[in-house]
Amino acid sequence: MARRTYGKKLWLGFGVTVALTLLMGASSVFALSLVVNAKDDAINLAVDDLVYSEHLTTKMETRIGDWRLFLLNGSQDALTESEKDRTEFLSTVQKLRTTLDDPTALTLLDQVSAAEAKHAAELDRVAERRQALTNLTDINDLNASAVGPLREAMREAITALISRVRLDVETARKDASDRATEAMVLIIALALLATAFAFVVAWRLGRDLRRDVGAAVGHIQSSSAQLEAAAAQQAGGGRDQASAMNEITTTISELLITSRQIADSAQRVSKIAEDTADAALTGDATIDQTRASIAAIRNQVDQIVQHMLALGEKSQQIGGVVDLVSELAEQTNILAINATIEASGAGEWGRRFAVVAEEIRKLADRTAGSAKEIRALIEDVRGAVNTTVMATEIGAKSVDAGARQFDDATNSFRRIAQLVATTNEATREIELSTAQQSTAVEQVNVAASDTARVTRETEASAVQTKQTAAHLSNLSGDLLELVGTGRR
Amino acid sequence: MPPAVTTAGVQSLVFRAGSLLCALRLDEVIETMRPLATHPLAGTPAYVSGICIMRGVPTLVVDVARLLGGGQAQIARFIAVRSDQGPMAFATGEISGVLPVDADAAARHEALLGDAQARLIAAVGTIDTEPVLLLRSMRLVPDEVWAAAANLAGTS
Repeated sequence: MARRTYGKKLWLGFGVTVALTLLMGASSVFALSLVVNAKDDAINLAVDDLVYSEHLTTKMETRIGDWRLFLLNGSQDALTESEKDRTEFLSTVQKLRTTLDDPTALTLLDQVSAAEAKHAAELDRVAERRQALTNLTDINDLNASAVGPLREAMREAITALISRVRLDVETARKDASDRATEAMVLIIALALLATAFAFVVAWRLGRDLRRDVGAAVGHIQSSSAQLEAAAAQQAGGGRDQASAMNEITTTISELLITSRQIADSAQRVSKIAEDTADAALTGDATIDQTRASIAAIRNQVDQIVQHMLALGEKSQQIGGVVDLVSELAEQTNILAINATIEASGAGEWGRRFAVVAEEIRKLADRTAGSAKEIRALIEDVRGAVNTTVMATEIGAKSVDAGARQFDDATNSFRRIAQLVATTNEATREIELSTAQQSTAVEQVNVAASDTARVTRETEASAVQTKQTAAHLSNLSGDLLELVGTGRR
Repeated sequence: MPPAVTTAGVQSLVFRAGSLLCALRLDEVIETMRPLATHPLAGTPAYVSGICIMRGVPTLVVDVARLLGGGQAQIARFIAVRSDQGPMAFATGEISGVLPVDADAAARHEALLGDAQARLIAAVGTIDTEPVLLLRSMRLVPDEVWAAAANLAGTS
């Protein structure tokens, strides 16, 4: 079930109370109308039936009076009046017949009519005899002795009717009184019910008010205390913040000075960066010349390598020729020795031939020695060529490595040039930004001053808030007393 | 530089055998040549290198340096010599040439050479200041070696 608000509860309680009040009022009106109707009935009964009944007596007595006047003077007028009185009597009877509700009363009314008819018939007979009389001394001739009992009978019948009507009136009055009493009881019951409900509503509202509102006010009181503490803390923080803002303002002023110095430095750096960019452009042309020189060196080294390789091949060919010469010298040496051996057994001619052969062998030895020296020289040349080729190749590789390193250095230099250009742009941006920063710092300085002022105002507001919170706490205590919890 | 030739002595073929300078009488020498392909011969002394085909004839090859007690030496020439059993090849070092070597038998120095060496060396001469061993080729190879070579030749 959803939690009802106090507005709804109040509306509901007062609505039910008002509804019960309206019901009580409507019931009162209804009961009053019933009582009024009952009283009207009783009054009507009393006014109409009882008056008409009493009027019967009156008319009967009036007719009897007129009838006696007729008997006395024999006047036709008196008789006419008497008949007129009877007509009114009958008319009253007829009215009573229409108004009476009680069967007993109607029966009694019939009896009255019957008695009146008998009495009228007897009067008519006596009237005929009276009209025949001319002298009142003959009154005894009227023989009107039967009239008296009939009249008494009619009186008794009317009296009985009146008594019955009176009884009916009394009964109607009593019924009306009973209805009025019932209405009073009903109204009192409704009033008690409305009062009890109003009491219950008031009790429940009071209880809920004490419970919920008291709890809420308690929360408000505790929150007020917390708010007061927070306001006190905020006030202290505001004071600290105000002092800090003063320091910030001082620092920002120093920062403003530093920022202006930075702007000047950035301007100088921008000038230096522009000079560096110009120098980088000059260095770029030098790099191109150096690259061309390195390429020329590389070509020369390649040619040297080719020439040295050709020299190695020629040396190898010379070595082949020298090997052939050495081979021939060795073979000549062998042949010369063998010739000497053969010549040794050939006598004098053989000795001469041996001399020649020995000379040939010596030539062959010299040739072989020279060939060996040439071979050694060629080997030295080949070794030198190989060493030179290797050194040249190493040099070529070094040139290539140097070229690559130079390319790397060139790329690095160009990268440096680009970076210098970027640095130049960045420096200009820094210069611009620093100028903007100086302006911003000035604005920050103004803002910091405003903030310091606002902080002081905030501190004052915090003090005011603290006082308000304390006042709110006191009000909460008063409200707690008002709602009846009595807690402080 | 070739050694100086003395005026007296027997004309001999002077050659190197390891560190030694050796000589052979020219009447024992057939010819000189480059080293030929040599096949090792089982059951022969260590100084017999093997057998080669020289002029179409199987010929024993004797390593002179190893024969004279020296170590392994580089072979530069083959010298074909005459012996009682036929031609024989000496594996030697470089040939110095045909020089007169003093073949005085009194200079055999048997006290130094002993019987075994005296059987191989006819005399010890000098060329300049270096001693020269004059070899006797006829007695270089024992008979059993010749028998083994004959057997090998017979089986081959």
